[in-house]
Amino acid sequence: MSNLSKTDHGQVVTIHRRGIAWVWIFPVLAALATTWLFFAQWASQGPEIEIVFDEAPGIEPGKTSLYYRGVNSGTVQAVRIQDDLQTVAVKVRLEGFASNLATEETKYWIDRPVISLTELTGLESIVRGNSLQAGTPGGKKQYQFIGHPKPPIIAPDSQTFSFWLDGAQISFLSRGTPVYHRGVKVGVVSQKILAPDGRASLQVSVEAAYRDSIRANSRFWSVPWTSVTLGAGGLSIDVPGVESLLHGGLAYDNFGVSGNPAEPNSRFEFFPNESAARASGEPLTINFRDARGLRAGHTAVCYLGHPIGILESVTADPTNQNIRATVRLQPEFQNLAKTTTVFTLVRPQISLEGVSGLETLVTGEFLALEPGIDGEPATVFTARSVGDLEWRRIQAEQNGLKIRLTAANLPNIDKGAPVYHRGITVGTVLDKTLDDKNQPSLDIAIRPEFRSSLAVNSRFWRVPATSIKAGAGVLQVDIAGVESLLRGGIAFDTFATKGKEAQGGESFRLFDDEQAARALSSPIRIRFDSGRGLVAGRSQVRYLGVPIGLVESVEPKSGYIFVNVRLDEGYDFLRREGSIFSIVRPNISLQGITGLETLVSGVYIVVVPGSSSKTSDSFVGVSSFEYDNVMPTGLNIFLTTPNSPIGKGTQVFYKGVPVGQVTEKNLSSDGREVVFRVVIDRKYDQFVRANSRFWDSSGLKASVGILKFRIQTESNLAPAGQVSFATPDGPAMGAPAKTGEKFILNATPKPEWLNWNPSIPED
Amino acid sequence: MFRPTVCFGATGGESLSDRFRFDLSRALVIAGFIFYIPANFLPVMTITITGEVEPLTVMGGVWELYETGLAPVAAIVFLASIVVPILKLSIMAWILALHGSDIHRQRRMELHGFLLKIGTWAMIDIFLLSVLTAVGQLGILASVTPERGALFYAAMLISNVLATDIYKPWLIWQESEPQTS
Repeated sequence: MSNLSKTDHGQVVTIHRRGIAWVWIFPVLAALATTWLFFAQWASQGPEIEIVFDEAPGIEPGKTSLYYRGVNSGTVQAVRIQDDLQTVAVKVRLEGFASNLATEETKYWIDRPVISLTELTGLESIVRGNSLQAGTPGGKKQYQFIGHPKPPIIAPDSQTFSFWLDGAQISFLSRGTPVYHRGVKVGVVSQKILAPDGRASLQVSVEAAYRDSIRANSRFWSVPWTSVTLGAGGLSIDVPGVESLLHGGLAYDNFGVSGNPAEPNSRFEFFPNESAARASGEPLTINFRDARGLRAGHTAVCYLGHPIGILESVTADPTNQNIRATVRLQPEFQNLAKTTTVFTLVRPQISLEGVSGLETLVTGEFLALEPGIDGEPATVFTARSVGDLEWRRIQAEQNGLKIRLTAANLPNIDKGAPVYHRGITVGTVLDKTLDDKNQPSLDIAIRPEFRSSLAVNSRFWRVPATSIKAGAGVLQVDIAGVESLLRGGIAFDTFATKGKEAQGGESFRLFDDEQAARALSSPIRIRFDSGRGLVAGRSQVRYLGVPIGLVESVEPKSGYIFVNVRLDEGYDFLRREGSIFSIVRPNISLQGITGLETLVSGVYIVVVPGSSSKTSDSFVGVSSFEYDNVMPTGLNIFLTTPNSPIGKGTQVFYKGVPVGQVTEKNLSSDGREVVFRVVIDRKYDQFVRANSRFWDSSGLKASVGILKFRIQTESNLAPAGQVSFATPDGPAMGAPAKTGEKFILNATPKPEWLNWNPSIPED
Repeated sequence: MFRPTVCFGATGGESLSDRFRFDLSRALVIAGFIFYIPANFLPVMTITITGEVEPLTVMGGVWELYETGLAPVAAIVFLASIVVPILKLSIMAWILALHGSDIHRQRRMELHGFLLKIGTWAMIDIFLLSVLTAVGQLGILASVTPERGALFYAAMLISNVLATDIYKPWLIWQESEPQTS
């Protein structure tokens, strides 16, 4: 056993020597690994820095990390309150790779979630807790820092160009407000401070890439978060961007004026709005008597309605009881300010004279600039304080075409009443006086731009405040305009071929209404037995239902009514001899209802042109010419008969076809006969010949035996009878009947008449 | 005296000499002591709960448990993860130190047997860590990642277990040999 053991032992010795060398590798390896580990740990550590904060919420030693560009670059080792109890010192062990953060330019701040209306940052710190953040390092080594309470607004590494803005109205601008240049966001407001001199200043940082866009003469203004434009085009709301919806914004431009590049940290003036920023011209002083409505920084200066400047300030001038307003124009409009330039404050005006400047209710009062045509450049002006309407009047008075209108009387028209031409206000009434002949007259002025529309043969008429036209089935209410609704106006037009342009100073007659003005021709005199219902200046003359003239006067004379009628231009063919003028009145009888429209439109005169080639200005009217609308014109002939029960409205038949109508039943002048006026439809008038025979065909029906019926038809109240006629064959028919030709109305037809069957060609 | 040569099997019994076992065991125990230092000073894992990153050393974990009011659990973890490993290493070192001497042979036998027995459970910490790492991946809410300390901790435990296993009970009973041989 011991032998064996000894043998074993001998073997072990050899292994033992090698074994010792081999096994000790484990502790050596362990020691090396540990050493390396601790060395690596030590090597990865950077310097320890100390940051002093006013407060350090959520900063915990051993846990809170320092981040630089989102990378964990260090760990808070200790947090302690300084001896003065005012600040907190945070010791941070930087990572080795972040040793360079310990430089003097590095900014440190505590990143915490900010959730407000204008900001939403540090969201990740909600999850991971507050952390320390480091900005871009630079400069010499430093190990003591003062921490910033808020993160810098500019990305830590961006190259920026900063400058200052001074302005009175920066209340709603704050740190983080975006800065736009032509709609592109180029930077932000990085600081808002109150300068020692009491002015509020904004520091603006713009990305270096946009540096060139800022010139020494750039003008800055604030962009409202939204602009609401209310105008004729509707309501439009502009929001420059979601960001500016929260912050508002700043914008700048140099409005096309070149300038030197701006120096860093230079100071700029800040304007409340774009118009103020644009108006960089020389200040102009305008003296006002009445400064109501002037608002510094808001009241615009408009040239032809286009804003070109802004009111900068308003000061009272006690020495001469003036309000002195300082106005700046955009530089390109500076040359409009000349000695002859007129500034007018336009404000809404609602009075009996009219409504003007209504747009200023929305836009606010503005200063209208009326540039002088010549004159030296000037800087001091005296403003007019009148409404737009008044201004227009003054303008017309000064430059307009002045003419005089006379009329028999002039109700309802006053100074300032508008003058219309085809619905457009082209002038105004300057004055209302009595002229030398004690006749009321109006002086009117036509604005220069419309003077070409007035010709020497133009006609003027009064536009009533409101006109109501009632026609057959139509009721039309005309209101010429809001202005004339209040006081009426004057209109003119040229109905005839336009004559020479009026030169001013002419005298025109003012007609009572358009109808009268339109009736140009010399009057026609018509004698009527009765003028019942005719109204001078109102009753119309109609041809084929269309009004073509107007009754000018109605005068009784020696038992008759003489009516003077003026026809519109182009209707001279109605002046022929043989034309028939008749008064249309409402007529209700069993034969029919006619002239109903006259209940509304009033009695009118209807004219049927005669066939004669001779013209005449004097006619004998037919007092009750019942006129059928179906057969407005036709061949007028007369039938005579000793006695007949036939009444007005009786139809006239040819071969059983109705071709005409009895329109009038009269006694002959000697009283022996009854005379019927018959109108044959024009379509059929060739069938009436010199030798045509007429008979009362209503008797044929009555012969059925109703005697009583015939007796009763002697009254106008009875239903109409019938009149028929026939025309012989061949040459025996004779010539076509002429207007006014007389025929005999036979009581019964001869048998051969019924067999006549002529072939009559159309004319 | 019984010689359980056959008992210890053809591999262990015959491939490794007793002297080599003793030396290897000693080396491993020393390595274990060395590993023990970083294993306890370096964080073994990083727990990230809702973004809050927390590197934990073993002792830090115990402290954490104690601070949250789980003092008994903290005590158990403290014992199991810090005291027991160093105790095991110390016992093993004591056994090895008395190698060849005849004092406390019986006690050494008992302690060695005890060490072998509890050696089965030695890697429980590492096992738990691996389970925690595998399970505790809840994305942004929470995550558990093992740190370098865990490697050293494991190395310490493995050294300890191997040292215990390589040193055989019969070696306790071996007479000390003349150093000259």
